[in-house]
Amino acid sequence: MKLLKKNGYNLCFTVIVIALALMPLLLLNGFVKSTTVLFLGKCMAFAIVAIGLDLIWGYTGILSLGHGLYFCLGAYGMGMYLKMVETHGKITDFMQVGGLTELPLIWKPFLSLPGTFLMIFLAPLVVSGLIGYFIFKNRVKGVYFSIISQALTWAAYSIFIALSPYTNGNVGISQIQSVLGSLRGPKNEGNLVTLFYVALVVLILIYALSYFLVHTKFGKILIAIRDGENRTYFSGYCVSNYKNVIYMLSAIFAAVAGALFVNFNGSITPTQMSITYSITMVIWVAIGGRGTLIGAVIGAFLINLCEYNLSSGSMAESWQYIIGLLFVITILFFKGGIVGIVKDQIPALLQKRRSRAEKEGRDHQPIPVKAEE
Amino acid sequence: MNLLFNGLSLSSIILLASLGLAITFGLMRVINMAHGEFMMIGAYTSYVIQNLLQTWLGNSGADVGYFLSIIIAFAVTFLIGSLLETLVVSRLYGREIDSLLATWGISLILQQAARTIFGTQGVLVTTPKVLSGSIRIGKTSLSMTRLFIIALVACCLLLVWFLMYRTNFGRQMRAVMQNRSMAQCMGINSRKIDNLTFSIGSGLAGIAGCSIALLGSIDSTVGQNYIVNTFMAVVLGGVGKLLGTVLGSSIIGFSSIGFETMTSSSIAKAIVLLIIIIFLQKKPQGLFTVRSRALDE
Amino acid sequence: MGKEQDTVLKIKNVSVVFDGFQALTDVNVKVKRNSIHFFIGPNGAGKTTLLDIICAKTKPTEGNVSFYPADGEKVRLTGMKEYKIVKEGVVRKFQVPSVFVNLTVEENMELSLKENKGVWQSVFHRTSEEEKALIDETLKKVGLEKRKDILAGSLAHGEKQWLEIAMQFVQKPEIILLDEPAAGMGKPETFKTGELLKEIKKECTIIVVEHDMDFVKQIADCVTVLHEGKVLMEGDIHQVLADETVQAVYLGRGGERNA
Repeated sequence: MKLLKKNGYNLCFTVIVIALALMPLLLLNGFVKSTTVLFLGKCMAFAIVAIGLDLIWGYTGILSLGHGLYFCLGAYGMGMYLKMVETHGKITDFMQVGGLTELPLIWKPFLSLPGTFLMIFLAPLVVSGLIGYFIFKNRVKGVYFSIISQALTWAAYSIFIALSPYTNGNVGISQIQSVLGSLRGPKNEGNLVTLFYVALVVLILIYALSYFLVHTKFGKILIAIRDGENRTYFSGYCVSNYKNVIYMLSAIFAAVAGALFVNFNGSITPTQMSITYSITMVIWVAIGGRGTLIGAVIGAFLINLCEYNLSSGSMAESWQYIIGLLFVITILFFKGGIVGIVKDQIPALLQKRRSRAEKEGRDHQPIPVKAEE
Repeated sequence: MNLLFNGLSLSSIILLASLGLAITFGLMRVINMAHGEFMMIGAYTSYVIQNLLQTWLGNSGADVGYFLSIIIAFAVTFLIGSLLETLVVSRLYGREIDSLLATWGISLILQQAARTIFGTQGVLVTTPKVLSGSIRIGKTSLSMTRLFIIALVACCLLLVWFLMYRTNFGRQMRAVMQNRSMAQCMGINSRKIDNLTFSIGSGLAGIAGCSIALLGSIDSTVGQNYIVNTFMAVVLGGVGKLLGTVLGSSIIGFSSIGFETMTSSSIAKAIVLLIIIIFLQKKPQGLFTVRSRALDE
Repeated sequence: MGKEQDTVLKIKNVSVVFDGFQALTDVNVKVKRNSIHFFIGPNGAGKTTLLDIICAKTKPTEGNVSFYPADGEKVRLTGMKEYKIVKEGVVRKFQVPSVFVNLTVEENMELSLKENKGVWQSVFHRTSEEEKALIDETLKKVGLEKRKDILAGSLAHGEKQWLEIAMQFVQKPEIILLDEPAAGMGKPETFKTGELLKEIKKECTIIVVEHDMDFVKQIADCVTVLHEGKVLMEGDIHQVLADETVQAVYLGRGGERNA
């Protein structure tokens, strides 16, 4: 029991990983549809952003309402590369419509895969580094950070749409295949399976890295910052540096997730950058359980699976109601989310029942009274 | 001149939208993300009232309906605000980030409700005849609609100022916001004051909704377009200061119009926001100081 | 033993104005090494503000604070970032106990260790055996060695105070600033805290803000009385108690506050 308590989170993650690893086998045997596998691939991407968000929100107490921006930086980076594969490095339709005659400089790094990977890391690193540097150095925190991150994302969103010769505006980058080629149809199931396993490995690596981090002294300092930012300053730590590092890391996680997502999704639009979408990511973490890595993973999978199954059928309309209500209830009554319910609330309930039973058995005994002055 | 008027007009719209927020966020420290949805409710109220009166009284009814709807929108959003405060917000005082998230959940629900009732297609409010023309001064023509909104803002501002600084309720409200437990000791029913304050903030959002109904079509996301600017206006002006919000809205309004003449409107918006964020770097102290004997709260 | 008489901290011509309110006016104080130096005075006299100035939580409007490390050059604390001041060896315990409630007592102590405060070091550093021994030893001093593994948040109020003192002491500082360490403690606990401070004094200098006069009498080496932002007088405890002005402005009505 004690072992379970100590390793419960990792055990839970292992179960999820095994279940996911079995999916492609089921696909090849015809038990699940390829669309399901495709969807689970996206879910893994979502779980990665969720882990990143959890590191900064659940552990460090910085609520970012703008992680869609970093998600999109990664997704657009990958998407641009895939588009270039499609057009064989020539300029695209939307560029021509926008009046460009040759490939813009900003697209050049995306002609090669290594260049693309480099950009997927560098772009979020630089953007989040700059934002973080200025915001954290000036000790902007709490809701002010949230509001500013939201405004920044909104600004980036308008710029992305306005620069449509470079980004294809509202439409985004579409009609692209994955890095491995097409994923659709029975012929390409091999591609899908390979890509799926790549995503799974990335998810495991990111989970493991995060797990390692939160169990080092660094992780303890993050919690210290969350619980008492000023105390941490007065313990001799340069809190702004710590915040900046974890913020950059979570931005990179989001970008990696975006890059995976676009492979499975086959398109990317600025919608994924919007405030609404950014907060949706926060909802996953909140409902799954902030402050535990597994909570973020569970939340991302659970919510998206529910949405996938409900929003296509007759329940489509009610989905928004359900998610809204669920979110409000979680915030109001279950701060620890699903993980919190399983870990704290249920044992507490059992404890209460047990102690009540004990008390009833003990009722006939005189209650010892402490001498009071 | 034309530019000046446009700036003034945009500022007044932002101010009207921020006024409610200045109360809920600035005074009560509740981050009401559903503020935009209250505006949406106000706008739809205009639409419904106008249509109702039009069917009963014909075209003149539509005109009367619009003006009537301003008061009704205030009442409707006031009541919804009161309900929201009782059910959700009252449990979250002192938990700013949680209040932000919970009200976001509410805003999702309200948006979907609007889609269920009114559909995804945008609807239009007919501008009353009195407001459809424009006045010419020299070379510039000032649209009546926009003049009306400016006047509406001035009225609301005056009322809020009067309420806050010249009435007994205002004194109690400020007392509760500054030191809750002390105010309770003085025999002020802080629950009631909280509820009323939040409701008034929401009601103001309803009025703002009526004014944006004149500017374009209404759909379930109409409030979302204003939320970023209004929050920035409140933060920029200094949380908890009414005059600051006026100043903040004006800065955003005028500079947006200013930049718009140079580039496209969405780029202008982005530039303005970036400038504000940079400006906030320079003087976060004035806005973000906490003075208390406890190190962290 | 000449070193003992050295000045470790010099507050020079410090004035602070908050929005037109003169919180401190031209304060000059020298603190001797390895002494327990008290700041006392009625509420609003500027005691906590003075501590805030020393550890850079508040910037002085005029004047500056200098620190003289045992080995090395004079350091001007005014204008430094607070976390750098901590690294110099000037640490602070706050009036309201501020420990990290979601970390265990031991983790609280580990975070307070003097070395390895950079980001990279925090990722790769493992607490060494010596550091562990130091933590155990310090916890023993405050009587918390048996509670190493419980969350700091579930400690009693007095225990939190001691933990916070221990967290400061484990950094091997040269100066510890304590803001009302005895607040909320009963008589026996206060006495115990006093004995603890006497013990600690051998290795560093302690600056205390306190209302409890019995506590002051128990351990003070030097007392500075502040009144309305100015230094009223300075001297050892007997001189202070005998002074008529001090009695008039503070001690005469200080009785009710000792409860």
